[in-house]
Amino acid sequence: MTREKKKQKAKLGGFDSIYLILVLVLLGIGLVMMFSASYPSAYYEGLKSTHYFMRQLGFAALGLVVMFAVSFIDYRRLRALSPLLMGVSIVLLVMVLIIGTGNYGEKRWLNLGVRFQPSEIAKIAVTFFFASYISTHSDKMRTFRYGVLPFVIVLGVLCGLMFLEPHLSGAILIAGIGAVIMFVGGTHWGWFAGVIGLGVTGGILAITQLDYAQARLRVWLDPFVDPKGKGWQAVQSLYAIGSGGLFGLGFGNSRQKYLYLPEAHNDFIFAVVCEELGFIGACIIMLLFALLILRGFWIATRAKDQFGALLVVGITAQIALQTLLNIGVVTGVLPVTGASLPFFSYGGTSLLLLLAEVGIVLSVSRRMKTDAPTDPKQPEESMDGEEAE
Amino acid sequence: MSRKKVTTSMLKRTIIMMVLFGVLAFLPMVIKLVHVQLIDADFYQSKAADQQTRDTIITPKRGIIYDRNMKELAVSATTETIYISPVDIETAEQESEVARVLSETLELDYQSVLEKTKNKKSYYQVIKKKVDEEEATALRTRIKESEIVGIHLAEDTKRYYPFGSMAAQVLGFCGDENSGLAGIEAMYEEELKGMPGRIIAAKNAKGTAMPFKYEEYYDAQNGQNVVLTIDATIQQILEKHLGTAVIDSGAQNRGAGIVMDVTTGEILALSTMGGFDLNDPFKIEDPNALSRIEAAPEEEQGQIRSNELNAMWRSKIISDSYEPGSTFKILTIAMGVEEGVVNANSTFSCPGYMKVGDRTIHCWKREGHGTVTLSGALENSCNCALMQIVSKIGNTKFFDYVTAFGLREKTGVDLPGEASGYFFKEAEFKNPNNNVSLAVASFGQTFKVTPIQMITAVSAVVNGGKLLKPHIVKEVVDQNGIAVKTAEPEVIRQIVSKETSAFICSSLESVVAGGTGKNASVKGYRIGGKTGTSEKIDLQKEGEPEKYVASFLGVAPMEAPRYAILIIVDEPSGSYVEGSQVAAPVAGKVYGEILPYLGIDPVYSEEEMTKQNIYLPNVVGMTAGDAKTMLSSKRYVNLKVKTVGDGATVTDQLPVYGTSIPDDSQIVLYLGGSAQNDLVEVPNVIGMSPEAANRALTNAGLMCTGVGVTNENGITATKQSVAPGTKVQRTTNVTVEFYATSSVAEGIG
Repeated sequence: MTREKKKQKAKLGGFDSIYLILVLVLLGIGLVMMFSASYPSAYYEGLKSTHYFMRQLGFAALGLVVMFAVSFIDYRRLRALSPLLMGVSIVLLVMVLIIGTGNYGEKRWLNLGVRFQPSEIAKIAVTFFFASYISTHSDKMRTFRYGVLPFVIVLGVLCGLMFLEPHLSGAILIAGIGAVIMFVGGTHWGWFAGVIGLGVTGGILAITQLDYAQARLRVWLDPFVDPKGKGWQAVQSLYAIGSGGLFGLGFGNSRQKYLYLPEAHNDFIFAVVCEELGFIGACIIMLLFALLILRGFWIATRAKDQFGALLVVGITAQIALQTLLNIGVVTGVLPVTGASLPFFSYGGTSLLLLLAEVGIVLSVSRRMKTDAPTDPKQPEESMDGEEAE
Repeated sequence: MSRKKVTTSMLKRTIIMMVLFGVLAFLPMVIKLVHVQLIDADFYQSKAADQQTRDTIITPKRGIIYDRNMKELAVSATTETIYISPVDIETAEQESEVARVLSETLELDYQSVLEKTKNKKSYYQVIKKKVDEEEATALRTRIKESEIVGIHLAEDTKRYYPFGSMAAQVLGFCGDENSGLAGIEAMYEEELKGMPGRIIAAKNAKGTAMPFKYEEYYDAQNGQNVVLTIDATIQQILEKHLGTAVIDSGAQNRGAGIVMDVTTGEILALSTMGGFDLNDPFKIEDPNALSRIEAAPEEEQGQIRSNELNAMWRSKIISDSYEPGSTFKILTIAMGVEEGVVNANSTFSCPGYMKVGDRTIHCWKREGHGTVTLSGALENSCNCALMQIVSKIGNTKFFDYVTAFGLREKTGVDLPGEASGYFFKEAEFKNPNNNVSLAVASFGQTFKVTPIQMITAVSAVVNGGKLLKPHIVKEVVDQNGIAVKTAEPEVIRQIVSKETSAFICSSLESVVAGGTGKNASVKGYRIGGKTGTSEKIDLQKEGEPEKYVASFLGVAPMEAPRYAILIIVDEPSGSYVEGSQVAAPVAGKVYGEILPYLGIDPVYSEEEMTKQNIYLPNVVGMTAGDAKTMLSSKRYVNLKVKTVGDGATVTDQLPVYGTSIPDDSQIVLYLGGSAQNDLVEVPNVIGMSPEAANRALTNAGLMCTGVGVTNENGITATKQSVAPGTKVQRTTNVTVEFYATSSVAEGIG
């Protein structure tokens, strides 16, 4: 056993340093921008101007420790935890409906010693549960019974519970993460085409039939129809972005963060980035995110097994969807909905969990194949013996 | 548990996700950023700047108006504008606290202030403007004590006129927004107003200031100061005497006066009486005007009130025209001399009327002046002589001179609202058959000029012939006292020669020395001038008493003519209506005060010298003998000493020690007892000759000081300082004004 362990250790590669560097750079920039964006809020709330920054810094430090700790755990050992994680998530999502709290009457937050959103746990649970399930049933994924139904049931339960909070953006994210894992896992593409078709049809129906949907669409397409009401957030965000111009007003010089931008240090932090760092700075940060996403999927393609690959796909999909949803909302490409920007937005537990997930990606990256992707004709179970204890 | 390898299908599908999420999905965002940050950036930037900044105007301090000796005539005092920012006042308690403090300290209605605190979208609600420093300080203290939020004070200015009503129509006044509405204030608005400054401060979404300094401050540029040619001392002297004359003569349509430096065109004093208080320019005090407003039907009162206000604010010298009457004869004779059609040796015969065409035009003296010299024509104001002169000048020349004297155009004086008068149309007047117009125009009738045109033209005649542009602003100086604009004498044209000018000057001097203008004479000074009395024919209504304009145009000192004065009394209604009676004495009194002030020393004749005043010594406490010895010394030899009582020592004396009295006055020495209860009754001396008046007062135990014209024959007392019948202390000095009445009759015509 010790010999085998030694052998195993010897086989361990280092982290994927490019992925790690991208994460550290984004986290660094994110923290600094969060400081700039948060100090007006802190000031007006009568707090120290560094209040939010110091808290976030603490969680980031703790998150990095967790990240490295997780990266040293063999992700395959965590596979057994998948059903438990899913069970716990569902319990927490039910609990939040009963004792949850939120800023605007919705129930999103649980306070069990630590204050956190159960939806954050649910994202991880879906990733683990689906990755585990698919790596077991990958050969039957093209069937409805194995490739669609279980997923729809699980997502239906999770999203249904989140709708009740209500937490629309969280439900969209979970559904999106689940869909990406299903797609990579091998569910027939026709199902996706069908769902997309249904969605588009439903959307068109809603827009043509429902005044409410029409109003939302109008405000999305032209927020200036109601700049002081429903279009307020979008308009203020555009003012901030436009004020930045090519080079920006300079770090710390955003004016829109003075109570004009709602959630300047949270959902609309990217608007402050655009205002202070300009088009160039915004593009550099988007490029860093794009590289992180590309590198994440690249790690997935090099993963030693399906479980690891699908874990990384799920986590990368989560980062990608959150980033795109957030920047899309801030720039007005997407209608306004609450989504935080990974590494930038204020939120301790969310950052902690994100870094833990990065730890899992790093863990997978340590066991990557060093050569070209495996020949698909190679026996799929060949790794088993080596792993058996 | 299975440990499956990643399949090819998974790889392919992962790569699809890579491309979708890592590349494609970012494109719409980048395109949107290109639009918002690069293409339409200006639009969003300006919109953002609009909402982020708060623009506060800083009122500049309005420039000061000075007189020529830098006395302040119009100044801006600092006041405060009180405003609240309702966005900062959050709770109902704060609202009522703010309303309570403001209503108490500023004497405002509590409810209306409370109303304003509820206008939550605003950060600028004006509560009260032009609050003085005292109230503002009280408010500041209250704010500090109670730590109240949302009340702000902003500095503002309020115009203040230290001399009150002095030169009211000249200075003008300002409206609510500190902009000039009349007079110099309006004429020099651009120079005086300055440039407002701005504070552009960043504000957050709540409208309150940012915690950090985002402020751009554009300093207000204070207005430039205007220095007038007006001399406040001369202005006060003019207004004092003019004001008295307007009241004494019962002038129905105010009076006006102007003092001008004929060598430069500078206006030293310019007044229309009754005036108004510049610190309260909308208040009508004239009881006649008030009764006219009250008499009108209610719906017309507003309009009539505004008409009365406009009339009150009008400068008669600048904005009204009048028939110059006999004062115009100065110009007609100057034309004749200049044209060579008459000279000092010319004589004219006045039968009392002249036939012009088919019209008979009378001289004011129906029985005729007989044979008069050119100088005599002016001294006696003979219309017949003037008609003869003007017939030699001819229509065309006369008209061209009227034009050259500037009577057919505005003088261009730097005051607003200048009128241009009315003269005949050129073709009409130059028609050779139109002899009647010419004849009547020769003595200043049937056309109108403004007083400023008239004095400007006469100034040209007496200053050596140069027509100067009149002006009232000496210079405009900036905040550092550096002149940005300086007025220089502006010669418009030479009209008559120096010789003509000298001849007219000497004629004018003889008018005052022995002619119709003698009431303007001042002991020790050589003064020239011409009286005028014109009937307001155009405004005459059937059945009403005739209306006149009495005027006098003077020049002094005649050694070197420098100061011209024009006095106009409009519609005098007292016992005298002629310029020689009503206007000339005003000019005399003004000259009597301003000439010494202007540094021109009097030169007394032998006779005048002997009537010097002496200062009484103190003899109280002396024995009767010592007192009499002292009072018989050479200095006091002319005093008439009277004793009352039979004590040994002088217990009191009247007049008291140090009084200045004529050297032949009576002094009463009390030998026992006091002068306190020794009262005598003042007799009526009006209408008496100086000698008779003096005798009457002396006999009553009083003293007589004669003013006005005292060294002429045929003068009578017109006014006494203490009313007849009043009981006063013995030896009280009664000032009696003497003026020529019958010997200066000039008639109207």
